[in-house]
Amino acid sequence: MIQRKREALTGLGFAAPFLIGFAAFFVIPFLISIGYTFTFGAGGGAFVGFANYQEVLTSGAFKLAAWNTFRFIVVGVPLIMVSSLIFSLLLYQKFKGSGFFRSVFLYPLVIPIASTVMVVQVFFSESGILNSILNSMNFPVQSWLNSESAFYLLIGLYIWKNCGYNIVLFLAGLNSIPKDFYEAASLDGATGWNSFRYITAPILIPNFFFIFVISIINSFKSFREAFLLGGTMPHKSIYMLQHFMNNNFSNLNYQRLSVAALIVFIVIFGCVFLLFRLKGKAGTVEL
Amino acid sequence: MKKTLILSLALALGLSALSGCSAGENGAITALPEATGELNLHVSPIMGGWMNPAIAAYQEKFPNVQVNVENHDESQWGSDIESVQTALMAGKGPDLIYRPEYFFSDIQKTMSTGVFADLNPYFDLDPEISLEELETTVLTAGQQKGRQYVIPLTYNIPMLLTSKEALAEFGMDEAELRKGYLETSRQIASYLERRQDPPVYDRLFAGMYYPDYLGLSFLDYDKRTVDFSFPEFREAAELYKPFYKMDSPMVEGITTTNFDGCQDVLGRKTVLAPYSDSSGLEPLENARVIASEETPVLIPVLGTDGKSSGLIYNAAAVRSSGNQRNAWEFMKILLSEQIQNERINLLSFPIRKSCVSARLEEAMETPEGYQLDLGGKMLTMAALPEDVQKDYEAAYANLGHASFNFGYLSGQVASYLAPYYEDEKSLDACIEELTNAMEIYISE
Repeated sequence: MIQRKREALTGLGFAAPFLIGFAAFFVIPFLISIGYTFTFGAGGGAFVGFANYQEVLTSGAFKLAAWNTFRFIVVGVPLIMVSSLIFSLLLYQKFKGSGFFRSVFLYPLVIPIASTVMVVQVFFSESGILNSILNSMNFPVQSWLNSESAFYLLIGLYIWKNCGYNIVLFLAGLNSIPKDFYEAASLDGATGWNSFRYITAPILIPNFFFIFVISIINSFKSFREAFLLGGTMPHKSIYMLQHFMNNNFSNLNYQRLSVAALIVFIVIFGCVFLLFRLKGKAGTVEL
Repeated sequence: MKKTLILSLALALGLSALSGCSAGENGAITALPEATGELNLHVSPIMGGWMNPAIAAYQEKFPNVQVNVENHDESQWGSDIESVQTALMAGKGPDLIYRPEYFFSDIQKTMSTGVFADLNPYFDLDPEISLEELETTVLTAGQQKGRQYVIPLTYNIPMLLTSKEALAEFGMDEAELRKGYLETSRQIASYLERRQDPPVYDRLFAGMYYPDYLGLSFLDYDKRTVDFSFPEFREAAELYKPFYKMDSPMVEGITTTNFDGCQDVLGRKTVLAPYSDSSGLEPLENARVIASEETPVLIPVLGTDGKSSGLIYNAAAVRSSGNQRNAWEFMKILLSEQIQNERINLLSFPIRKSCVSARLEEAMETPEGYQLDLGGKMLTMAALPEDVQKDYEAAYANLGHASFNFGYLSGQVASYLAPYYEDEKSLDACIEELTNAMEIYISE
């Protein structure tokens, strides 16, 4: 008993630096931020109850940002999951140059995002390459970055940027599947689809779950691209929750910023919690 | 264990919620607190000597209050703004925020964040000053939802100075010019179609800040609505377009400082000499020079409502989390007759109503026939004609709307309409983008 206590204390001692830093830089600011949601005025202020929540939840900008973020996740995440799975299955096959193509998919990860956005602007701005081509063919010039097209451009950018990362994770999962399973299945007359459905997919579920969570997290990072493309006030199709929070920070409205951040935290926490519960209920795969 | 964790979390949430329970100083003022402790002021290099007499008057009245002045010289211009912005974000900073437009891109938006103290209770409780003593139209620019957060201290009214002889020579109709900004712009545009040399005016006097002059309500911060559908706005944008590509607003013959305006009119380098921001007494003094040779005409620039516009040149606000009472007393000093009439601040018009006539008297101080030596060129100052005096007084009496000089709205309009001015997009497309962006912005 004493020994266990001693061991626990020793462990706590080793973990203390991290715990202190975590508390100082995450937990405490988080709690202060929650406190802000109930006050009015910079530097502490009057207690206003849930007035800030009411303001934010009825704010047109917040509703637009929440809808756009939800839409981005609902469209972008499944697309990136499917595309990265397809590419990883293709890259899993041994063919000439497969090693080269595997590394090619990783290049977008290391290219600075500012450079990428610059290229996008060169192609898609009002006087960009694409519009020049359209103009030369007597087609009307399109406002790609200041119309609904901006949303799909951002989806494309998100998939292009993050697909490689998911491919690596899927490939790691595929490499962990014993080849014997496929051999045994082919001996039993299983087709490619049967092999995928009854062997590959079930074993990849943990990877799938992890990649799903990572893809959602990465979808929030798309704010960088949206910000670089459209500034603090982009076209309404790519006005995200991060824009709402960033602009309120610039305007010193920490209360609204904190409310929005807390709502996002609760939603993400809820989703991840639900996913873990579903994963737990799914149990382990039996082949 | 689980129960303990949940209870701890609930307790933490409750404590954090209660941590915001400290009511701000303005929570429920029923009586003015004593002026004690300290007063922290930030003095920017561009203020010049404006603050010094006010600081001296304050220290004389409140010797027990320690005044801490954070002085910055010209070499620190820019970095001092950043330091104050950072302090304000942290809930600190100067107790009185002078020229808040330097620290916040949109003062109206900032008013809704609680950075500034609500000053209405102070006006109500303090017997030494009342809102009625101040120009109420200009005060509205510093209000939100009927509460006063920012106090404009001085302002200007855009005016055009010319002479009857110049107007007749160039075929411009004075009566039409007096109808307002749009009518003036139309006349200028019409003139330019007929004649090119000499130019009537090289830059529309408002520059790209014409939205402030129109007197239209584009952004309603209280209702959080946006409206750019006014046909007058569209026409103003179209009329401004030819002037957009001029390289510099200060071209030869067109100036708003000293006595260049009257010389340009007399020398027929221009017909309409503009006076917009930082004008103060200049239109009157220049009119006196014109009066020595011709018949001066002073035309206030009217908005679509037929009323003149106030461009706020100086303002101040009290920081809500600072020493409010001490800052309020300093604010009163800035609004006092002594400081409002201070000759140091010639450049704009005081907000205290009682100082209007003093300004006119000041313009008449230089004796009739006095000769100004401008580096060899002599200008004679005649008496200020009664018509010009009446037009000047009427401009201030007929004030219909006010906005902060170089305000947020005009900057946004300039930014979103730039593709139209540069022939890259249609005006409709630009206005649509502007409307969409402002709708999001105002509801953030």
